Amino acid sequence: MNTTSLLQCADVRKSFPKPDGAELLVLEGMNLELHEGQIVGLLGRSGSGKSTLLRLIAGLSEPTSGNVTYMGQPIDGPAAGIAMVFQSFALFPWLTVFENVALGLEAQRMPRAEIRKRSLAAIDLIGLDGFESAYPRELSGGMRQRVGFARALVVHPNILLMDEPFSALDVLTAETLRTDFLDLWGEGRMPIKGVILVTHNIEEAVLMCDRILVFGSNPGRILSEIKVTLPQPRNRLDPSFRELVESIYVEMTARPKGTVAGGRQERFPGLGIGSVLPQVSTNLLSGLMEAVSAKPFNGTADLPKIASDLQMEIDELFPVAETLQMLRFAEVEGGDIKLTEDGMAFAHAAVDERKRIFMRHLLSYVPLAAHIRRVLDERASHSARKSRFIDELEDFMSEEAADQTLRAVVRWARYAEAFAYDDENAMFSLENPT
Amino acid sequence: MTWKLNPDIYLSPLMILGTQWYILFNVIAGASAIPTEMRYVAANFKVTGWLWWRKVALPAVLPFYVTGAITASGGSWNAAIVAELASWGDTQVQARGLGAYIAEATTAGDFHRIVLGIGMMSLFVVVINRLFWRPLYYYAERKYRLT
Repeated sequence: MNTTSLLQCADVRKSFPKPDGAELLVLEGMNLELHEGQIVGLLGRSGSGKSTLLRLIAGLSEPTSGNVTYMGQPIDGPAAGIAMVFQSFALFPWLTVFENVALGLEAQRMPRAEIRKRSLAAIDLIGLDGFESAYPRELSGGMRQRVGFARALVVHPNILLMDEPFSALDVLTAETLRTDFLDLWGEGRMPIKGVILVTHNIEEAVLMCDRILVFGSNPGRILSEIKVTLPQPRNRLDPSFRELVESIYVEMTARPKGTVAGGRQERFPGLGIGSVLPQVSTNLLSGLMEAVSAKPFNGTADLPKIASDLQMEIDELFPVAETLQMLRFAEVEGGDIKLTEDGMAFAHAAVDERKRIFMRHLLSYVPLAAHIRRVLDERASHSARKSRFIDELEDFMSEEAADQTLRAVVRWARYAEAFAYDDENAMFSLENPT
Repeated sequence: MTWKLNPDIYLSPLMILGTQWYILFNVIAGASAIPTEMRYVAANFKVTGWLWWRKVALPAVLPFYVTGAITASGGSWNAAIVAELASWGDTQVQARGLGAYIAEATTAGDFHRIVLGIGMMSLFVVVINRLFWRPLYYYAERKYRLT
């Protein structure tokens, strides 16, 4: 299996400067190797730096330190043998399907006849026959992404980079496209030697990849590498397929133990005022609690199962599950979510009772909410400016994160009626219009 | 004043130049509206030079250019009507045209000629809009709008 190495990343690190002079680390210790004939998946949640890594490989940005080499040559700018497929398709609306596909060849100054021949061949291969003269706006999402594939394949790249290529499509279309892609790949009909696929969909990774790199966030790093040896075509219902999906869920929900020394604060454990809070609406929170408490789960649910039941991607499900865990409404461990006693009580309660329970948990387990409430209680005016809390938060996090965190807390506090916030004047207060 | 130039001609660049800002700012707004992923596509497939202008940049800013041009031409018209009769101390510079006609009629208090002048002006605006700007605008919107 260990054939020619197409691409190597050695100890790649990427950071962006923050306005206050410090640096924001997004990728650390990235080691990756792509061999001929492999599909490698980069699996992680949003913010884990997987798309950043893809852009480094594509030569669209440069690593802060470390090396990316393609066929032994360091990458400094877009390499001729690497083509990319984008999540948003990124087709030019003023060009026809044919012109969109031909663009890459025109850039290579190929003779007109050759461009025509190769473009038509690529269009044919990807199943777009008959659509050559259509404009992107006339096509469905699935057909548009086929154009995206044809445009990448027409330049005969050695490596195909795919940045969540199926996540903007509906379930059915995405599955058709995946199967078509795997068929072409399996039959060796595409002029490519290796594929890197960025995804946040665990099943997609297991379905398509030969190797999966699981990414962790803050900063983005590789948590583990999983070899998928199931033969193609893979069956989602196959017990060994399910088992693998389950084990990746377990891995991704595992609580980080002994985080990097001197590292930044992890999201929830050891929560202080300075933790970044996720934007999760109370509707989602109560929705998930209701779903888990109801039959057939009765309080304990397998995450992959409930994700597919609720048609949620892990990107959507995990933040909700983690927020429940933070609020002590649920325990997330080993790929399962289990409601606590209060979580069950919440799920079965009526509106007013729910608000009471939520308020108790909010003020007990979210230090920032408790802090704001305390400040408001202590002041004679029972009001405080938003900037006061923003300043405090900015000691711990970026301006943007501070704003987001405060927004999240306001959302929850409004639901719990713990305190009020007037966005027009940027003031917190205790008064609740009754 | 000394060279006795034809005001029909030398007032024109003045008013055209004065309204190009509309186009400039619209085009800047258009250029910054190109989605990042489209820029990446151009970089990834090494679309550079003239090809880049032809297939990416110019089409992307065209709708914005047209919007700017409509505003600019409106502004120019406005300026033209006023500028056809410019005063410099006691010297009056007068170009031939609708603006001068209306201004003259107003000074003379000739009600019928004012109505005729303004009516013609409105007709001009409507006709030019219908026959030129509107089709151009719809064409640009339909074909080149980024979605």
